[in-house]
Amino acid sequence: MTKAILELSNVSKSFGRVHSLRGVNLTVRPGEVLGLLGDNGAGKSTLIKVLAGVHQPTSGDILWDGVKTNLDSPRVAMMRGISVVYQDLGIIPLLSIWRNFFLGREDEVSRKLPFHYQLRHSHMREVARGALQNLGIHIDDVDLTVAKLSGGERQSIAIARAVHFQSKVLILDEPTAALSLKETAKVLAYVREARNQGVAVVLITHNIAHAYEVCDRFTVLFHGSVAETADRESVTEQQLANLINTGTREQRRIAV
Amino acid sequence: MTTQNQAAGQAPVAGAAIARKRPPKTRMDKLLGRPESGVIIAAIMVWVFFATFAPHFFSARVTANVLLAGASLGIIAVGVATLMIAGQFDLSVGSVYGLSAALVVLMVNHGVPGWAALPIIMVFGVVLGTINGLLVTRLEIHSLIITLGALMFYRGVLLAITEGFPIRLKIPDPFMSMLDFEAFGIPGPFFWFIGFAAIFAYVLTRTRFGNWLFATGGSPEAARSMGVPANRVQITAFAVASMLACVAGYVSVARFSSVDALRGTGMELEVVLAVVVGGASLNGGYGSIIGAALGVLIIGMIQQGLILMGISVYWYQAGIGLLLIVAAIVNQYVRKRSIS
Repeated sequence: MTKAILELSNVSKSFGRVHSLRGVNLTVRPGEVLGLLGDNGAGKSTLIKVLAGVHQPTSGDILWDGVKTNLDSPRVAMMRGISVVYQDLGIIPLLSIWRNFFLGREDEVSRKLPFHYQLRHSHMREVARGALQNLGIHIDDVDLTVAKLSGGERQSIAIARAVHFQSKVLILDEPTAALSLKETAKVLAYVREARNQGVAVVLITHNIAHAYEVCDRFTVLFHGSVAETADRESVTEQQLANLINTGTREQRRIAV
Repeated sequence: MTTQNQAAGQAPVAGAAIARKRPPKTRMDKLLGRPESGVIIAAIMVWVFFATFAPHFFSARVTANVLLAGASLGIIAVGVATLMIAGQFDLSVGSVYGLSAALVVLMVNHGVPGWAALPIIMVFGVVLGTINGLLVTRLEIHSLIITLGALMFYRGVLLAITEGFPIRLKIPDPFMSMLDFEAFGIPGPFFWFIGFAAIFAYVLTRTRFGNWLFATGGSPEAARSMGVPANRVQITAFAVASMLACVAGYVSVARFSSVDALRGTGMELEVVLAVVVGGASLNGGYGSIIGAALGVLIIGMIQQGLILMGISVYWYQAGIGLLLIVAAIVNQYVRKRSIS
């Protein structure tokens, strides 16, 4: 089994008297898709924000490549190689594809001149087009504004960006929400492609069917703590649903 | 499971269908695909109109007047366009323009050499803009409120300093006289305007900071999540807007040697008008410096053209108002075309 790239050990996060995460353990490995499941309010969002450097844990450790570390800000997490693709954030509708692609990473494709970074327009266009193609996304006109793209295309650009910048960990927050069936299949194919290129993927979703299709392992959150972590082979879709609803594999009647 | 099979090494094929077929861009798309498309057409139309109906519109004197009238407004418009693209407003630029001009006159009258007054007044502008920016971004108060307050405050300070009387340079300053040149029949202040327009057009389209400006204006939250220091970007844009208002104040003193207490009154709205006519979106994230510059020139042309046609100056305001509405309709069409 490959060594973990990112590990949470006994992480808790409280906001005042609200305990959002309680002693969470989580392992993220390269070349593997980890499904992070849980109902609304189970602590998924807080957990992503801890991984993205937005929140700092109240207690517990974050291990990066086996070494204890702090993720003080989104920028620090980004520098480490953690990319987060948020549901609707992270992409600017009015900007063109290539400008979006390099947003926040312009220095790598710019000339360093006195007082400023000069963007190399045609170089940026080419690199963006190549990176999209590398993942199997065929959009020739990278000058299109993102507002003209479909939801699936936007997700795919964000994924291509994470892969291109050699993110070690790619966190996808509900990537298939509000997508058509066809687009969902495509986005899941890109997720697999990213994994095959050695990226550690964390897929956050409500949708057990989508998760079951691509994930190698599942961590189910229930009321702020981990209900169970299981390999795909050792758990069924029904059991996952039960874990999300009740915190155990057994089906229990939910009081309505 | 079909998608499972596709994952085995042939994902590139799987991707083919996600990019939906788009019709190739027509010549019309390319023509109308830019923020300044509408204003370029408008500028040509206004120009042709007055060239046809206004006598002497081509004379050097009239051209010089159009360019001169546009200079101060234009320098300020460059800053306001930058700020509007970053998603914020500054209503205080007119007051800051008047106040800075008065301060330059006072400085020079108290023995500060003209060449030293320029950097001093620029720093002054940066400080005022930074204060606006900090208040807006840190306290999350809408920029309209903060800068409306600033508008009243700085105008009040100006009125208090001058007691309402015009003030003028006691003795001409050699450096400032030198700036008040004319080349090829084009008045000096216009070169300042073109210079700043060129610099900021470059900054906005060709630099990392420009990319951050558009991103921040388009969606501050998303920009922040991509590692763009959105607050810093907006504060810088506020500083630029105020600094350029101060530069415009300096340039106007170099030209006219005097300031009255109402200098720049109403300019904040005229500038917004020019910038919006130039294709910028009030919501931020969309616009162009070249468009704003053309918007300023259109205003100048209408002003001079109506005078030449012998139409009462009272119609000027009506004409400008009509222009704004027509321009807004055209720009809306252009914007819809380029983003949906």
